[in-house]
Amino acid sequence: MRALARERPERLDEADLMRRLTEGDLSALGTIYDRYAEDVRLFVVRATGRRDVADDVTHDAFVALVEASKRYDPEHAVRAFVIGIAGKLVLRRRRRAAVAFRVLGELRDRLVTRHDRTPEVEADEDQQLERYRRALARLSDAKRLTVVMADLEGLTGPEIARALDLPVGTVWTRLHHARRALRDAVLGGET
Amino acid sequence: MSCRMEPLVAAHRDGRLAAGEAESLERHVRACRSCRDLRRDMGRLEQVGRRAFELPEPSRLDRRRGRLEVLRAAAAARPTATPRSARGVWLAAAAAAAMSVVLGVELATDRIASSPPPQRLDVGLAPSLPILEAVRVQVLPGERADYAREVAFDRGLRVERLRLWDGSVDVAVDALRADQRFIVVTTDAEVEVRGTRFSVRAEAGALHGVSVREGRVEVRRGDQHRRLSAGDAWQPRRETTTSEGTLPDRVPRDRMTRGSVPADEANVAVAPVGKVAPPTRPDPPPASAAFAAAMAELEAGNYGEAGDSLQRFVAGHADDPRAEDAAFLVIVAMLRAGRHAEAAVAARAYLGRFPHGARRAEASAIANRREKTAPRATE
Repeated sequence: MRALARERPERLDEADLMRRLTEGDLSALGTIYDRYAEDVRLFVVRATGRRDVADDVTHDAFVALVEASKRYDPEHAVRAFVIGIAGKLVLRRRRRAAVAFRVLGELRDRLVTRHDRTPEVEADEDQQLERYRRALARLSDAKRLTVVMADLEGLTGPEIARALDLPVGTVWTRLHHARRALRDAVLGGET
Repeated sequence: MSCRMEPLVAAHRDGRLAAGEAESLERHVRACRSCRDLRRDMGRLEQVGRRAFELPEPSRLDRRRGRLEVLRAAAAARPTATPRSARGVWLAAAAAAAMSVVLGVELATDRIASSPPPQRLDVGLAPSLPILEAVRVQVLPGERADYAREVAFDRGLRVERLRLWDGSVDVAVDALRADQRFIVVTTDAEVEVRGTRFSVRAEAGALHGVSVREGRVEVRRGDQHRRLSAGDAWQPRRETTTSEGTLPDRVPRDRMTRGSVPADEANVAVAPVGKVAPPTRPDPPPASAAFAAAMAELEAGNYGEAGDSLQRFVAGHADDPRAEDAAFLVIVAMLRAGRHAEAAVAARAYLGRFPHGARRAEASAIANRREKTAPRATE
């Protein structure tokens, strides 16, 4: 145990937070929220393409964490665990109200404006960002969520599999197809 | 696919290759342009993807508001054992900051004969909107409750309904904004709250009494209206047992929110009385009463007494969900009473007890300010 503490003090700290949460200590939830709320919000925006649902899903994910904390495995990262909950909520919202992604025209409105580049560079980069967003929007919900979790949020395959209740082989398959589609769409003309 | 090794490039990136396999792949990639391009493109795609969606940094206020909403919702959704055997249903409500007070109690047009099925709050999944931050719902230790909270937009208003089937909940409602409504719904009635401190009790799903501790309350039933002030109460009086039969047996559930019972169908009558003692559970839980008394002192401007009462509340109800609020309010009360040294002590006590508390920043500032100014005071 001591050796483990030296190697992964933060993980132990997180495990302690989750243990306290299962015992009903909501101050632990506040600490976890402070650490990861912004990560979860950004994940939801990436996974849905919508900023307007980010706060709601983030809220729901952290409230659901109280109940889900009973299933938490102390060997794994809390960040991945919460993002997994948010991912399930995104899928559920998608199934329930068909709201997860409104493509193309809406996405264009959400382009991030950057002012620190020359117009030519800005145009090239914005086109690339636009292609990425469009390509991501065209993926199925399952593939989009998987590739966002893996490539943008840094979750491992086993973490994604646990979060989405999938065999890890399914995760690798989805990742393979999603990455190939993104590469063809975003960088296809350059390679 | 131009190279049969390309799947291994992704596998290597995902950490799926053993050390020996990785070294072998590295040697291959150095010699294979296709695999080199693939690896480069995967890196570029991740960079593009991370830039494709950006969020503005939320303000400190937004962050705190989000945090508080989560904590309140989580406190309201704490798991409880909820057998549906108890017949009595009562709701005790205590508000932290009572302002203008309007309570509308509208009994539904018809009684719903069939009770809804037992239902638990599906934390995090059912609500599509955040619950109202001005409303805090708690199941007190030793109590039980079978309820659900839901929020919806209705004609431009954000309406939260707490559907209570069985048990006891403690509700604190701060003053709601003009575009917010909070309604407690039982099988036969609904109680709309604007911000007050009051107790509502129900039995077997039926509204059974209202008593007001602060502000004013308006009870509406049919064409009867009665306003109750602090200290007043009313309770429905059962006129005859046979009159129970005058109410329809079954109505659609969505009619619960409309209209009121005509006087000639009513089986209850509004009767102003000085004190109402509901038959089985007349008083709120001791913790709620203690908290309410302390808040009353605070709102009355008796800051010294309020601080002392709140300190006793914290000491006596350490496990109560309001303990953190009370601990912080001790600081506020002491400051307002001009007892700055005691406020600093209370701030340090708050930080020691709730190191991750929602008000730790304010408490730290007060504690540190006093520490800095204390030496000057002694000079």
